[in-house]
Amino acid sequence: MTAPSATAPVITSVTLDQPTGYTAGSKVTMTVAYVPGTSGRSFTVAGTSTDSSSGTQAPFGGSFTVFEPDATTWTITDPARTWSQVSDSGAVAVFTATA
Amino acid sequence: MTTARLTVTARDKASGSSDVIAASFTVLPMPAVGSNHGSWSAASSAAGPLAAFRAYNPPSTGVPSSWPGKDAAPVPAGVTLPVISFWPPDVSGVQDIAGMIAGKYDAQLSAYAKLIPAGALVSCALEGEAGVNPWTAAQIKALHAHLYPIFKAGSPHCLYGQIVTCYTASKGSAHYPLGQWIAPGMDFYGLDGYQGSGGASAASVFGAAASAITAVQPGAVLAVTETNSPVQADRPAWFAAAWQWAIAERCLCFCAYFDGAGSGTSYEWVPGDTATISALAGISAAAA
Repeated sequence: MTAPSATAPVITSVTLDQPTGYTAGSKVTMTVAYVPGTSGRSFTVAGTSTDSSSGTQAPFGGSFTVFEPDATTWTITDPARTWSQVSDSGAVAVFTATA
Repeated sequence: MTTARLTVTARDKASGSSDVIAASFTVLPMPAVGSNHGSWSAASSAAGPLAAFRAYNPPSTGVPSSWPGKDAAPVPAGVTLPVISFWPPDVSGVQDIAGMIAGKYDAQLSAYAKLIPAGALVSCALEGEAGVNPWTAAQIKALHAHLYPIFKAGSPHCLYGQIVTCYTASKGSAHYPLGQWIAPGMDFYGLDGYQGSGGASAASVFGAAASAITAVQPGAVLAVTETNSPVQADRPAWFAAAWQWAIAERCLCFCAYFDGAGSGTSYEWVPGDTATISALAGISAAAA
């Protein structure tokens, strides 16, 4: 069976806590909302059905895929400052830096 | 003001696939820290270097014929923000505000305006609305409304504004409320704010004036053009609190005011006041 394809994470929004700007030296908090990437795991099921009167049997079966969210790693590229990750809920990640 | 640009990359740990998004934010400049002309050298040597320079041309000078004006000169080397004021000319002991409003001095004003470097702050009739002055609110507003276009025409990138005393925003002032004196449309509004005897906080002293100004001119650009405490022991805390207010309000400058050392006034520069000097040095360093 073909391995189910994985999906990439998708960043849906980036929000900074002071939309009008920061004074130098003040704390910047950035909130990133995202949908995590997923990996699929394939499963197959097989069974036999039996007619209770005649005793006739017939096989049945099928397959399905379970997609599960993957862990996400973060990289903030900023030539002027270092960012620290505060939290990551699996849907929202929060970072801070000094303006 | 600078724009900080960054990219955020989310990478799937299992597959290595990723998504990237760009973001940016604005880093606002800190207020330029300075002092008044008479104490600038002492303050800058002890707690600087200071970037702002608050200087005054007296009524006897009238409209200066040179930059920044003979009584305000020279602008010290290294100063990036001169804050200069002058008065309506003194005619027979009376400052001729009526003549200035009527256009009598437009040629001199235009000539002076052309000498002003980009970015410099300039104003006429500092604290003109204060109760000690004989002028009406209509005159003060007409004065600034008349001068503004002259200065912008002569030096488009200078900042012409109105400087007020925060005291006018308190009910104790004979000219309260401050809002009636505010000329709309100025490039900046300078605040001269001092610790009073009633123990008012820096935030309340400056905040009351700022509220009156922004009620007339929403989004007004503010500047602390003078500040000090008459209580020497309170100065470090006062300056620290006023500085925080200035940062929060994104003021253009933060200028302390001192009378000369040995003057004996409540606002004199005290060379041995290490606590005040240390406070100012910390502010200056934070702004650098």
